[in-house]
Amino acid sequence: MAKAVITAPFSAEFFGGREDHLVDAPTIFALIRGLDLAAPGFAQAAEERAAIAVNGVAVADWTTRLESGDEVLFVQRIAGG
Amino acid sequence: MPQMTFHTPATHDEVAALLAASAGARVLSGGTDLIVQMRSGRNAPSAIIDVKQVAGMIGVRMSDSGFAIGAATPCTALLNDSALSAAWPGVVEAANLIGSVQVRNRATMAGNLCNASPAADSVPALIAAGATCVVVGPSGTREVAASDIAVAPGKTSLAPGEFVAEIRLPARPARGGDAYLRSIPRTEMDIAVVGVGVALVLDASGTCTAARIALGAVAPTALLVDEAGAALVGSKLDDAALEAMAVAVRAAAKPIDDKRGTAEYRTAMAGVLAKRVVAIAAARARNAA
Amino acid sequence: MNAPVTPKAFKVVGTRPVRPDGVDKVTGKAIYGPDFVAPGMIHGAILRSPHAHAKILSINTKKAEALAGVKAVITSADFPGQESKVLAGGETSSNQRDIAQICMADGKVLYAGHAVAAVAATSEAIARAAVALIEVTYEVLPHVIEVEEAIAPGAPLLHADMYTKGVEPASDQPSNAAMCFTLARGDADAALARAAITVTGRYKTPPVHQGYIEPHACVASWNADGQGQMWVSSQGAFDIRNTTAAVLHMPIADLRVMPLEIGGGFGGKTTIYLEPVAMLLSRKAGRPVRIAMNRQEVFCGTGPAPGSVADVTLGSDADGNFVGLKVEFWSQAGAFPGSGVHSGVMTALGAYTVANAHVRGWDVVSNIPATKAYRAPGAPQIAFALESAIDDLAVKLGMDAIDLRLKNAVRPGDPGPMRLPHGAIGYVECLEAAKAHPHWSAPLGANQGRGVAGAFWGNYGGPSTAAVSLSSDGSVQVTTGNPDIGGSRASMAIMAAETLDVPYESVRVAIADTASIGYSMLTGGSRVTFATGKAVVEAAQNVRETLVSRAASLFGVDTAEVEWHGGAAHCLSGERKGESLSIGAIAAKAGQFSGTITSEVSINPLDYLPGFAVHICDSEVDPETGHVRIVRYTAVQDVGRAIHLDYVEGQLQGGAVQGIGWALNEAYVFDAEGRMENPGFLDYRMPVASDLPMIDTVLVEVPNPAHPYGVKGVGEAPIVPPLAAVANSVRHATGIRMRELPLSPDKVYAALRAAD
Repeated sequence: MAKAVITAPFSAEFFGGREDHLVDAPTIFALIRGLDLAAPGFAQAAEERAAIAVNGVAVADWTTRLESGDEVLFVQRIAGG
Repeated sequence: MPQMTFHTPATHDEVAALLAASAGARVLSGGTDLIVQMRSGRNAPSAIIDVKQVAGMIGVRMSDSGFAIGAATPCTALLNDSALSAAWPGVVEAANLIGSVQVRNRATMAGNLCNASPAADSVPALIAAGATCVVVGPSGTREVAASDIAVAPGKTSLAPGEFVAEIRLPARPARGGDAYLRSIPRTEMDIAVVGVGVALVLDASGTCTAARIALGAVAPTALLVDEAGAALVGSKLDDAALEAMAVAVRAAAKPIDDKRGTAEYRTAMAGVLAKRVVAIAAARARNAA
Repeated sequence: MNAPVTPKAFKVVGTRPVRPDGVDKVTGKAIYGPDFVAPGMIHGAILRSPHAHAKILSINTKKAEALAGVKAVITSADFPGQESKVLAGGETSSNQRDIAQICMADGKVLYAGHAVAAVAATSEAIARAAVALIEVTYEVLPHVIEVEEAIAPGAPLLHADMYTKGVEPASDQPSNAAMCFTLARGDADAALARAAITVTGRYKTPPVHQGYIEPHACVASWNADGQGQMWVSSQGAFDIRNTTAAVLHMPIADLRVMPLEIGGGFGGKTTIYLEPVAMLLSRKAGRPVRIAMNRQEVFCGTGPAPGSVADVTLGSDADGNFVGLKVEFWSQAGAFPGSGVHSGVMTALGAYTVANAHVRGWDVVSNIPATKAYRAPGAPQIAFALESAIDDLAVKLGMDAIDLRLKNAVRPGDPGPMRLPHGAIGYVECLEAAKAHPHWSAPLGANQGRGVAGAFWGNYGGPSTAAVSLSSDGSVQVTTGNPDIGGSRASMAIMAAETLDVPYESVRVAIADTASIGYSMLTGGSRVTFATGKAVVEAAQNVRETLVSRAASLFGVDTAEVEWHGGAAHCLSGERKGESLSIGAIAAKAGQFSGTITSEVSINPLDYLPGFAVHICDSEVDPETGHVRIVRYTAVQDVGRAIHLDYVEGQLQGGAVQGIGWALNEAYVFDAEGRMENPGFLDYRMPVASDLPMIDTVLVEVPNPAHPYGVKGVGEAPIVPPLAAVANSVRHATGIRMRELPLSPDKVYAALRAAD
């Protein structure tokens, strides 16, 4: 089981404010698919607006393998000039 | 599409005739106002009359009675004229605050005067110095005080066909000094929020015997404030006289609120700058003794 | 200071070679946006709304079309229908419908300057004359400019279908507040209630312009077969291509964008304004069309940085440890949502450890041009409030302003604003360097004050592609897809030269068009030297590996018996031990191998690190006139490692100068009708050279371990501290805390008189 931590604004938009979710998923792809089943539209929002970190390290590649106990953090993607 | 014509006349008469021929004709000397106005769409002349080929339009001539400055003489040329710079440093420094060096290599005091902006830098200095203009037109030539050229923002007293051919400054009086200061938010490349020009004369004892103080950017045209000059005459420029002068300056200032400054700020700065500029002119007068 | 952690480890990195694009730029040969000419090209012009908010009832283009020389006239009716769709592409996402409506108003104008129609004609003068012949009937609507008015009950609504996102419970009333974003930890209210010392205030900043000198311009050519080309100066040809293709419903590969030299962007050239308009005019006219904005159009028709209002309350214990922070931040987004609220909110929590914080930002639309990024979007505004409050706290505590920051500064391993722990950051090193700098202890003159402010900026990485190819003589071609804004050709050449161990001058860098290399995200987020640099280094490493492997074959030894240094392969064993083959000698033998040596690398690195900066400002305030003169300024920054020293220092100086302008005189001024009163550089007062002292720089180097040369983004952090550094210096010169920018002479004068 990986732990997904969904922060604002995604937690409020898709999960009624709940941040922590345990998902059995071997990759980020699978994890997001699982979350999208629970909250349709989350996958699209994640693609368009989220930055993702696994155990505190930002990752871009959704095929990244997840181990049991990994923490996958979803935060707002931030702009630059 | 209407066509604009361009002319390079060689004589005063030709200039006057071309200007009289079309109400939309405009004089081009430096072009630093005209071309900017054309590009922004504020001015669409029917004809452009480049006066720089006319004899005597460029250059400074000194005589016993003072200086004659051709109307198309660029501001930086004034700076390079050591006699003019020594006699009327306030006029020369005012003309050399306009725009940037590149602008001043083209821009002229006559253009500054005829553009009739209330904020023109050289105008208060010219008025304080008692400058006159030689105005040429279809019906002859007349000499007009610099203070009588602008009558409202963007409007002059010149009749159709008339143009300024020359600016004249008197010889510097003994123990005379002049100066100009302006307030701008930056340090250069800006338009005066307030400008103050002063020309004064001291006697051997340091008593002020004459003073002319002119303000820019605080009224529709530059103002000569007689009461402010009068407050200095007879004094040794002591604090009380300076304060009385500043009171007169503030009373005369009738600025508006606009994007460049509030009326309140402009009025206050007119008084502050007037005191500072009198101090510079007085120091020059003492050094000139 | 300035000493790399491993001095002399590098031959080229950290030096100051001449930039390869320098000669073209100083001799006027470089081709910028408005310079490009295509054969048969005609000229476009745009009609813009005189009203800040109005319904378009009708547009009559008949007279314009009848004018001799006019080849095409278009309005929003010529645009394909737009769906509300988020376009990913840059690091921010934008709504395709909003972008299209910024290019051409559809039914309603939302700011004075909004494009309404466009003409293409055989000359610019005819195009402008034709624009004046277009008759538009408007129904003028009430408008709103300031955020406080825009969120007040009963305010005129810009978008009837906009509901505030991110609020609980969901709003059922349309609003000008597009979105709200909160970062919270602990209990800020409770912490502030028990804090020994608190400071509080409302801070305001006006919209400001990025101040690039080159106006927006493009040439477009759209053929009857559907394929098109554009020549554009922008911060990223790929994203310009993608966005234009999306708005025009084109297959992306049908549109090729040629990047031209860019004369400044600073975030303002990350989007499109003219491109779809020029494309549609070109298709209608059957000719290439150039549109170039004049300065007034740049000010009134493109996006400035948002204005802001920020309420900040900061509390500490008696020793100065921050215990609670509460910030409410409103960003003046302009006509469409999407101002830098997220990054602003993040910035408030980036530089200091504070266990209890509640930072909430609101994206508020109003009738000014839709705002765009400007160096560290959102950060300078919120840092102005926070770093001013920290200064007030230092005064109340009687503590040195740098010591107070040191006490609370984030260190590696501390949680970052988005919860990710900070990596190898250097804020403490910056603060210590500032404190040790002679500036901090230098005596001050009469009417002078000294201010300090710190900064955090997140930076970015993102997708980049780079290619490194060897010519047959061994000279090196580096190709990237990122425009050279801050000297990146030089930086890329340095990193390739360092990696291949060849002279800097043997490496040439080209910026490819969108058909000639893989995608690179636009130049923004201080990402290029980091991300594109990383791609260049990887490609150069691949080339070097190939060189070693081919040399091994030529020597007849294993690759392990070949050493690479000095731009040559050296044989370590066998018959040819001691011999060497230069890069040119190996490259010339490509025919004996699988072809020329080249490597193209596409990466998407996210192991960037944030930037931290500390600025010290001395100002002198004229007590009679309110003029603020900056007399001394020092910019300290953790740069990871400086690749080209001049361009890194230049970034620090440029950011400081732009921030000083923001602090002192820059502001969009609107009249009662909502029209901008100062759309030009005369009355929009950026600093001129004589306004400024030399900006001293101190490069602190705490390398990023994730970059082969330790690079951290440097372009944005330096605009974050100056607003507060200047305001704090004025506070110490006058004793007056000014919370509203700009600190123009009339405002400072009024504050001085009020305090008399």
